[in-house]
Amino acid sequence: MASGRVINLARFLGRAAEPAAAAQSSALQYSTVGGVAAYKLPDLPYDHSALEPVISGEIMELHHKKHHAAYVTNLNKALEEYADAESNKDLQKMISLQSAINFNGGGHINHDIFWTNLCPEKDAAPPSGELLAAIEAKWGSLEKFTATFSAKTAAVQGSGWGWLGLNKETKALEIATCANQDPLAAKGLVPLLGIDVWEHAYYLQYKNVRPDYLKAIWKVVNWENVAQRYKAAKA
Amino acid sequence: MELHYGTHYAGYVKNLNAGLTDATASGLKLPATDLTGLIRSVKSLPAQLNTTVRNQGGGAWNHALYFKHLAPPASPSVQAAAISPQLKAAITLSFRTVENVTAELTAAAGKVFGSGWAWLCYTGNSGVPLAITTTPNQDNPLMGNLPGAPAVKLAGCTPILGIDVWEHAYYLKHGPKRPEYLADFWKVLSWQAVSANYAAALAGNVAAMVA
Repeated sequence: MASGRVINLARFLGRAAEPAAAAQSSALQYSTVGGVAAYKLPDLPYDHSALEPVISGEIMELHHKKHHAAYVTNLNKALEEYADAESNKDLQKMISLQSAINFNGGGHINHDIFWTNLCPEKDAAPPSGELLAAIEAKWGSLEKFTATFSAKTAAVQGSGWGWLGLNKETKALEIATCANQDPLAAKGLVPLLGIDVWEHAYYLQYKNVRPDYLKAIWKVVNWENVAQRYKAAKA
Repeated sequence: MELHYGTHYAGYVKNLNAGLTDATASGLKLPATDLTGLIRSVKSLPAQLNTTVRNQGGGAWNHALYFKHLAPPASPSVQAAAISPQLKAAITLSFRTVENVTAELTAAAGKVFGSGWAWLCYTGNSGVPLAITTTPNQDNPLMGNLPGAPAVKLAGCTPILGIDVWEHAYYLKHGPKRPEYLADFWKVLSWQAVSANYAAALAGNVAAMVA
């Protein structure tokens, strides 16, 4: 049994996550404890209350320290069980663990990106340069893009995410939605900007009025981060 | 409760009615005019009515069942003594004890990932008349297996008890702690209503459960 083995999450998640995008600021932190890789809950790049009044500190704390933390804990648990099953050549067990790895691994990847996609309102600036040009080329204007994104994301049934992604083959920007914690990479898109529409992301503040949450959240989108991801994805 | 009943549930009913009005305005004949019939026939409906009936109609049916089988914690109907002899016999055959069925249903509800429901269903099988399944979003076992969706255990069977595990069902009180909501749920679950649902299921009168 190799010590310090690193478990590559990507192989469980449909098409592999882009190594280029993963290598820059969105690299999932992990450490090797007792020979098994463990993913870590990242810190937020800002205080929990920093996105107020758009997203309350209460939501941010619960979302980060309970929901995201649970994905990380459950992911590590599932991966440990998977490693055991693998060393025991227990294929049935390995297969039965895949949905837990998908749910929790996807949850970890998605939230890891999400926290970096947001910033305090005072630090937020609209997109510019190549990213803005690409958005305008595809949707006509930033306003039309955000309206389309919000409409599609509001329409997600149950839990899921709205995404702006880069199509790896065509190098074109696309809007997509995913159910639950299904990772965007499985659709052949590199995630650039994700908006969580699980009820826990907004309910305490916006109740069932998901469209109001989607309208407000644009005030705290960190377009600089989106632009960095765009640049890395095109490379 | 107010938001859940007065806004979420009401929204499903409103949106369903709007969708049905639109669809029939262009001359479409519906295969059924009652909610249960519509839910059962969702697969046969044309797009995009099938999506409306699945999501909004499913939401309406599921919440109708849910709210009808809740009762104040002090009421006798939430006590185990309110379980009818018929239902008790079915529980004994299928799960041996009431403790077992509530524990298994709680476990199933805890495992639902994302939005969905856990159900105690009448199987139609006299040897094991009750069984547990879960469905995502506002799907319901009565809809059968839906194209493009994962296969549903007990597809086609009749739910007699449903636990809503969409976050809106518990988040304002319990935050992320779904297990605490599930523990609370049993304190307000009317076994009297579930017994009536079981009798209705046996009699083939599913629509009565949500009337």
